[in-house]
Amino acid sequence: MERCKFKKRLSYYLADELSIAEKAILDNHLSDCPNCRQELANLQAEEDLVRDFLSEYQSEEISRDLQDKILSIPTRVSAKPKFYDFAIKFSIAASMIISFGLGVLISSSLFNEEEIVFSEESLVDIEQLYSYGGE
Amino acid sequence: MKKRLEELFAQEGQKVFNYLRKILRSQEDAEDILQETFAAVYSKLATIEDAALPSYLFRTAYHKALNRIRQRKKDAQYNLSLQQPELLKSVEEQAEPTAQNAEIRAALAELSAKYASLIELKYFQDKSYREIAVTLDMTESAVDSGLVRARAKLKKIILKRRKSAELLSVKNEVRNKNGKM
Repeated sequence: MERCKFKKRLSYYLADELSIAEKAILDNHLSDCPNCRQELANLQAEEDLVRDFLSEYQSEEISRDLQDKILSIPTRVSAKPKFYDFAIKFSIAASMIISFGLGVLISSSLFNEEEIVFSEESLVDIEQLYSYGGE
Repeated sequence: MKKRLEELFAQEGQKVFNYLRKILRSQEDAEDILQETFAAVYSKLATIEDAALPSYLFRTAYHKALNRIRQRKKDAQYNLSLQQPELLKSVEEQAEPTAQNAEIRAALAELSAKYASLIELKYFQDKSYREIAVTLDMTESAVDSGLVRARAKLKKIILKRRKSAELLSVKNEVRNKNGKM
């Protein structure tokens, strides 16, 4: 049996989620289509059963104690000032830049020392030392 | 800011609490999550428009409830592995204010959290498809198909529970008759 193209819209119809124009089209279709009428009746029965079952639920009150706890949240949390977030981020960034700068300074000074130790003059001195030792 | 929180609580607090009671079933968990939800929403209060607040509040409650359910499952598995059945005290065993509420919670607990939330928003809060879609971050057609499936599943659950309740009452009648004889 061919599936009716309106079948998918029946749940929208039941939930009153169709526009006036769409509803009129579907009303018109329902008067001609027994399959859709049957499907709608099934959906309606399901809806009634669920509504009837859920209607027995009795709302439960929030205790005074819990209410007070929730409404005291602002005083306890006290609107986390954005300044502190900024200050923390700024100090982390600053310390990273300072450590990087210090690292560069230290490494460059070490490199310079090596140059002094192995400069040409000192190599000549070492060669002379060796030559004296040899004699 | 505090006034805004008080207004939000007065307007939506009860609804969200009842939703959490249904989906989590435990009074203690519902109270915890309600507090956590309002604390989370409070921290974002300055950045959310008034019209979007109820949806944001409900969505936060939904995600926090989902996390709590997942955590509960993990804890239950852990306790099972430790072979400590006394720690597995079911939420169902906790005191319920009314038999109907207990019955409805038990039936909704057999649905997934997503289906239970769709049912909550449609049947307890009378929200439109559009409002549900915004709250649960879904499309309207997904809300419709989800509701069709959730209703069909809930119908099966209701009928199954009614049948087993009838069977139980027949058994009790027979037992009572045999006892009198």
